[in-house]
Amino acid sequence: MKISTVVSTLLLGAMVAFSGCGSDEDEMVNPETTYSYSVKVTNLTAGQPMSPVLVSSASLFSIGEVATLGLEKLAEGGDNSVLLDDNGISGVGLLAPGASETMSLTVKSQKLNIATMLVKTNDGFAGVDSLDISALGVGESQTSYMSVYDAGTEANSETNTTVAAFGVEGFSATRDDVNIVTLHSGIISKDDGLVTSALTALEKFNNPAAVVTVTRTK
Amino acid sequence: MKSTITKLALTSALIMSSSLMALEIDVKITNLTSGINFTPLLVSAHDSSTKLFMAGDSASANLKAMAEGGDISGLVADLDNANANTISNPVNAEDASKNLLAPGASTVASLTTATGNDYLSIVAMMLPTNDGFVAMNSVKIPTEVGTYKYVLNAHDAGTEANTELTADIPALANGTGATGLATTSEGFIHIHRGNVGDTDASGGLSDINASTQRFLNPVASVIITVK
Repeated sequence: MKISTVVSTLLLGAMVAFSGCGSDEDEMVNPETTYSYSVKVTNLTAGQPMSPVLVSSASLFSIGEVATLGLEKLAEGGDNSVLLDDNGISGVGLLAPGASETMSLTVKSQKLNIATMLVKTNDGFAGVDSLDISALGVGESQTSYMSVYDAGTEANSETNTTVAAFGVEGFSATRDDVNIVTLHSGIISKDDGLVTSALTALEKFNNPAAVVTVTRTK
Repeated sequence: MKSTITKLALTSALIMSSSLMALEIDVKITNLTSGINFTPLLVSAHDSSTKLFMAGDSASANLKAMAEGGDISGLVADLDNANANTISNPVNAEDASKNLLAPGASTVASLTTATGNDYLSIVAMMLPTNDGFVAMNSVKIPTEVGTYKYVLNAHDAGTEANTELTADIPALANGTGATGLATTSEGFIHIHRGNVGDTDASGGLSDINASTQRFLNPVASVIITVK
């Protein structure tokens, strides 16, 4: 008992000192330092085109939180224009199943966020939240897999009047689902018994839906 | 100079701490699903010879009680007998009006592990399922101060047929009149194949809602903070 008290006191002391040390190190890092990355995203699904991929140093979504209007527009209609700013870069167009795209960006952050709509869903998107790439030296790469999230802003009806891929306006300001971001439960499709669905078994997906390789270039 | 001294102090503290293998950890569990609740969670640090289950084997009676009915008391007793450090139902400890970890919600269990209890297990039934449960099964707890992330998959206890009927699933009141899906239990613990569901609340095969109560893996994330 005594020993453990001594140890925890020591450890506590060390941790307090360590946090002081941490701030010393922070001071040595110039907040204006920029990092350049090459970000390659590959669509791993069988039949889900992905909307122009958004890569950003700014946070895009968080599990359990209400989606921002910008995320809702991306997830329901593939429109990343609200979320795209100086912190990010957009892919040039749809990323077809099996296709890859490489984007380059220079930011002041060592965390990356990614979001891209699975076009044949109501409000599903593949993404990563706060991917920590601080361990990367110049020339080094890190590979991560992307799960499919549900923005929670539109019911997963799978109908041809609500899914953006069918030529309708995907975005609707109405929020008729759980209104928090969660992982996606998958689509059902008409082949799997949802007679009102406009989707087929080809558009079904599982996790992961995409793979991302980040290479630090500067 | 200051930084050298503090690093030395930290190193010696870590060495002493890891040699004793007693840790203070926070375990943050987040329900990642869009429509599945977790019944009271069991979070336990135990020794390397204790396991709540083995995938591929048949479930113990106490694991079955957890997976089919959300009752963790038998597993808690098993762990107490093994001198584990266990937290039951952290959701209720944070808010006495709650017992379920809702979709998108998080809870934190703070544990002090005794010497030798350096493996972590987490289980809870998933509602609505017949005998589905979320699990972390005896994962080595890191000993260095830091934050560690994990994701958990849905398991099936294999003890109850996945009928998806209101009569077989506690607190499921989605519908009646369904005829049921599976008729036999699988007999062994495995990764859950997912809910099927249908759109007919008063007929069809299932009482589960296909649009809102299916799930894919992973179903939970865990962040262990070693203090």
